Amino acid sequence: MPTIDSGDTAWVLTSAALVMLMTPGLALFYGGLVRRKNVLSTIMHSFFILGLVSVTWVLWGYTLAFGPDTGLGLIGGLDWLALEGVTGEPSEVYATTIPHLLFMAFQMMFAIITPALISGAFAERKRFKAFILFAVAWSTFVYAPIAHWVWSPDGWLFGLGVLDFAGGTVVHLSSGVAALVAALFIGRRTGLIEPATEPHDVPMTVLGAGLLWFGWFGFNAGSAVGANGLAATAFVTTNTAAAMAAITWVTISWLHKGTPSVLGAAIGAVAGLVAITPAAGFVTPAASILIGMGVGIVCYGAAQLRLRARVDDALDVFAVHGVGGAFGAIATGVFATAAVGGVDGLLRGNAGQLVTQLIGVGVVGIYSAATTGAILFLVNLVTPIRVTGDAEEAGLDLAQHGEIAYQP
Amino acid sequence: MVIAALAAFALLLIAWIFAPSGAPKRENSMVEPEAAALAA
Repeated sequence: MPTIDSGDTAWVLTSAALVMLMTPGLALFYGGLVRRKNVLSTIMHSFFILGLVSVTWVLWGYTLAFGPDTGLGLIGGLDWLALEGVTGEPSEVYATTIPHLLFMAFQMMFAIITPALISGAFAERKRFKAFILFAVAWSTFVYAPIAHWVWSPDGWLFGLGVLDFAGGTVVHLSSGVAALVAALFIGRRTGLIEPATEPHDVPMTVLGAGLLWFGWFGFNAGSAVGANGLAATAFVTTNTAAAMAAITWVTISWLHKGTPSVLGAAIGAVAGLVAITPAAGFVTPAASILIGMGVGIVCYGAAQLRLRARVDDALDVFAVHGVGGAFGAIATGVFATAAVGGVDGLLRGNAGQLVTQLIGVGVVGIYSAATTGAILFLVNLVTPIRVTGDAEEAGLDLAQHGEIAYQP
Repeated sequence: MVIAALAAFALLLIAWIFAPSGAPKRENSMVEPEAAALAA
């Protein structure tokens, strides 16, 4: 009979609040990166999703993602629609030492930030109405199924043995690939002199990165769903990978462009946090250093390639979250250690785990890309996804929201 | 109660679909002309 543990409950309550803070942190992170005429609209994407997905998750998202399986490991049933049957007593399946409602709330914070991550790809040109419809559809038809596949004990990827401690595939790969598709669908911003615009407020972005880093302790260490040694391991690997990626990114940009970029430190830290997410509870702190360095190099390269490409993924969501999430998921298959999380990876003689991770990455990436494309096509039939040229020229803060961020 | 909750959200969804797609052309009370020019 599951029994509530007060220590576990206190930690997961705290972690849920930490993860919640990441979405406003993301709003600042993205908000600083855009031009000043679009900062409010960019912040609004994340902040509105905080409200929007909180409601849809309670109504149907949680039961689709974590409800009793409908039979094929593809989607949960409607047994817990509007949280009917989800109470303050522990679940018999998930996190059996904390209230079921708390597990739901913790997962809700992941469901909120994931579609918010995508918003960086179509910043400065997406119609707000289309954004809302897209976010509802995406969290229902992309996030919920993938979460079920990977995290439900009945999910088919879970059954295959795919490891994803806190969302490298479910959160970051899925949103990163969706961002790439969205950027291709919506097209390049008009009026760009350079392939990338200058960020209008770097301190805002660094503050956002700091809040993300802080909240990520809840994201990863909270995913142990208990106040225990695994949470401590995830806490340390998370901080270590973020730190290593930040200093790696700065070093590369220093050598490449001649100056140690402050923005690079912020983006590098986020890349490290992304990559350690699937691995946090499966690898040692030493491995997290290698993961941090590896993702710093790989994501920096991906961002440079994006600059040369014609794809206007405005805030490099694919380069950081898509590439970083895939890198982390694959690295989990390489560095996993049974002494940490119960499963060995390639370096401990279990090459099969690497193959399993590659399958997980491929399946999640392909599904997210295809379904995101279909959703964008359908939303575009209801309302044009892109704002008019005049609105883009004026800035979305004025054209879409009737407000401006800064008084002269 | 579940049906009522779903219906409440559905009302919002319908409202979003039929809501205006952009800010009115008139000057917004929160936006001074100079600020608008600056933002653009």
